[in-house]
Amino acid sequence: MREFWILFKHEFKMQFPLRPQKGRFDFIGSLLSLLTTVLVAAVFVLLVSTIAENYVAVEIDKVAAPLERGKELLNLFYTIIILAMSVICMEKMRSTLTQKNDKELFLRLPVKQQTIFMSKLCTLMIWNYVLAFVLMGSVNVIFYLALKPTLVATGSVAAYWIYSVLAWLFLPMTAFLIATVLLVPYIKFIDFVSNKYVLIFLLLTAILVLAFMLYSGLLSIVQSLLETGSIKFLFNERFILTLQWLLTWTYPANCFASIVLGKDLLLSFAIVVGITVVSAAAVYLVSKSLFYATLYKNENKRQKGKRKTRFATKSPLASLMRKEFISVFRDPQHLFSYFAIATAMPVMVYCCYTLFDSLIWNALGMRINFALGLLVLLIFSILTNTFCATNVSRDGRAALNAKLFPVKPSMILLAKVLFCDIVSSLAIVASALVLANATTLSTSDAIVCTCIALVFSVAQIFIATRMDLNHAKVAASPIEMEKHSNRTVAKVVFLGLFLALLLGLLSLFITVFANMESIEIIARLNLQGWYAYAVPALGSLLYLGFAVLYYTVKLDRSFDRLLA
Amino acid sequence: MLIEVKHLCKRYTAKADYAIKDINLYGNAGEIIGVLGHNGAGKSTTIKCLTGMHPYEAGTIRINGYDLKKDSINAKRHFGYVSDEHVLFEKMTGYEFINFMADIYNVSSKDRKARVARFQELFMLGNSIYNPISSYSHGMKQKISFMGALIHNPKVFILDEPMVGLDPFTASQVKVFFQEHAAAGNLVLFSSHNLDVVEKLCDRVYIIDQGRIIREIDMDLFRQSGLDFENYFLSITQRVAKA
Repeated sequence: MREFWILFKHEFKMQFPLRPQKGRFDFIGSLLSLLTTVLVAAVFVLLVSTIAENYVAVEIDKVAAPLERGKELLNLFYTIIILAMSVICMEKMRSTLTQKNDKELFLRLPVKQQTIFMSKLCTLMIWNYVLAFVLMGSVNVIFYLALKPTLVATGSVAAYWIYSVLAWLFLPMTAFLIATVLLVPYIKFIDFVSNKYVLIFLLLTAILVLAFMLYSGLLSIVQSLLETGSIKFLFNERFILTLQWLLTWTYPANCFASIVLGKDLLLSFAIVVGITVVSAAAVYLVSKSLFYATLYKNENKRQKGKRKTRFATKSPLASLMRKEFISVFRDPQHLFSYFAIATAMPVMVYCCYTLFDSLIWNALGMRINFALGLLVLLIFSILTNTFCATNVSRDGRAALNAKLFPVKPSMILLAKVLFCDIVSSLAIVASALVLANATTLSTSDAIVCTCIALVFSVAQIFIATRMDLNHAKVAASPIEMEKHSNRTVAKVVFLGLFLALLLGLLSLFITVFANMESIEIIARLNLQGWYAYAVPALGSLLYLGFAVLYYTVKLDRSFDRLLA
Repeated sequence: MLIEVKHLCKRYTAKADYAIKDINLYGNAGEIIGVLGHNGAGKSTTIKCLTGMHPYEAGTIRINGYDLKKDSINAKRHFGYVSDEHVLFEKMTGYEFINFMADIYNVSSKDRKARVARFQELFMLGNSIYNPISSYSHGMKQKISFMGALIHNPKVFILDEPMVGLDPFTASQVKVFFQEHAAAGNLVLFSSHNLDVVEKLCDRVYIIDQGRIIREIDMDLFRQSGLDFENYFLSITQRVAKA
């Protein structure tokens, strides 16, 4: 037991680093990270509460049944939560169990394998409970607000909260058990695809495109909400009947929804307990064999490479760029963050453009194609270029090897900038081609948009690379390094988004106001249509000028200071 | 002189004590030089300054006549370095890494082919250079680091703890290689804790303690003296520690 507590405390500290890190406090970075979190949470709460309010008010055969509708929707959200938590937990378990350094250290200790396994699983379980508290907590509060009149009228407010706590006690365990049962096939799948980079790339891009299409579906709900002030029309009888049929199969989420709303309480609770017991037995059997299998599995099994006899020479710059390509393409995380996002960018740009084009047409009765096309291109190129904010730090300590090379630091960094610029430019040009051919944007407008976006994108890459060089902690632990990288990413994204919105909106307002000559104040401004092109073009050129200056000043010295 | 270091000083932060202070050393063509010292004595810091990985506050470093600060590109062209950490570009295969290093040092296709064949034999790497570096053991990474550092046939070969992780056969081959490389008019400079290797291999030895060079030993003269190298090393480092 003593060994268990020692290991458990170690794992807990690793998963929940509560003690503040030593060193200078990065106020701006922390503030931006906090803002991002608040923004994401606000969007989530707004979306869920809007859907909940509208859905519980739906009448079928002119009869309102808020509790019935509430149960259906709660069931849907719990299904999503269980699925999301199972996937997250599965990945966390895989990475925890296969942490090589950690594993090798523990194998040497005079401790039973089961004790190590249990200490890791208990920490993961706590992590699961915390995650469930955040997700279920926010959903349950939103549902309470939507169902408050009914709950008050039936006198079941206290019961709602008590049953919510009961559901919270069991739901994370269910997600955890599902994750454990699926862990073996998941690890086998990861092993299978681990060196098949093209397959990983295709899979990740497909997942990303699907996720974005789902997201744009959600956005179209927001669009109809903005246009009609309600989304009730979406929840028609056919939709609700299909949903009801689907939700009868979503065990155990439907049982959790029933428990929270006090419906079929005993039966639902019995089913939840039954599922938990059966899963726990399965987990015990799986984990008993799984632990040895994963712990002693040779992760570094020899991967056979192809024999090559050609020794083609390349210039140092070309070779450095190839190195960048390899380091991104052969790392699934990087592959997703950059290549998959860049490849999916035309789809994302198309979805957003068509959505907002119809929104603006319905709201203003006019087309603002150029400004909209530009804004969408700029925003998505910024999101794609987010990756460039790790240009230096993602090499970790290997970045220090570059200090030995007999090439100027400016060339080493130029290779990174050029590589990113090629990827980003291809994504922008492909997106503009899609816009020009499949939307209301004219070819000439698409060409101007592309030129401005290309200039803006180069500027963004320069800024991101230099900011990372200034703040990279290449000698720090991976966790510390990731934290610093995240802050740099947040700064780069906020700066880029602010400027993109500024340029895009300026162009948009100029286009709108240039057509409003009947209003005297606006007419006095004498706005010409071509200003809508000139202002963002000039703005992006100025941004590029600033970026080049920021990038080049004391560049070599900053590079020399890496781990100095 | 292939390496000339004068009054080298380095500290990690402005308020910290000097990690190394007033280091003076030199190395000529054909020599094998050892740098000895306890843990934390300043060996690695000195070597990292010599390779340009760490900037330094004062002093000069010249590699094959090129000042490391003023003409760093030319200075870096003339040395190869093997670190004690073996931090490599793990996503590359060994073959890709060596080719990459050859590109960086502008090595011709013909030369790199000949050198890779030689090193493959020397380090008994066989076809494993076509596998990803991430799948290599510590010793394999060490060998690939050697190949990457030697692909341009550097005039100066600098190594930090080079024998750690090598199997006995490869370690013996490496020692022979050091002698051959030096005999070809180059310089080999390495730090080590292995007194036996240093005693047998080196022409001159610098002993560093508390960031300063406390002895420069001509090993030919020392061998003639009949003293025990281990006892000698321990006695002078302990004497400095007491002082």
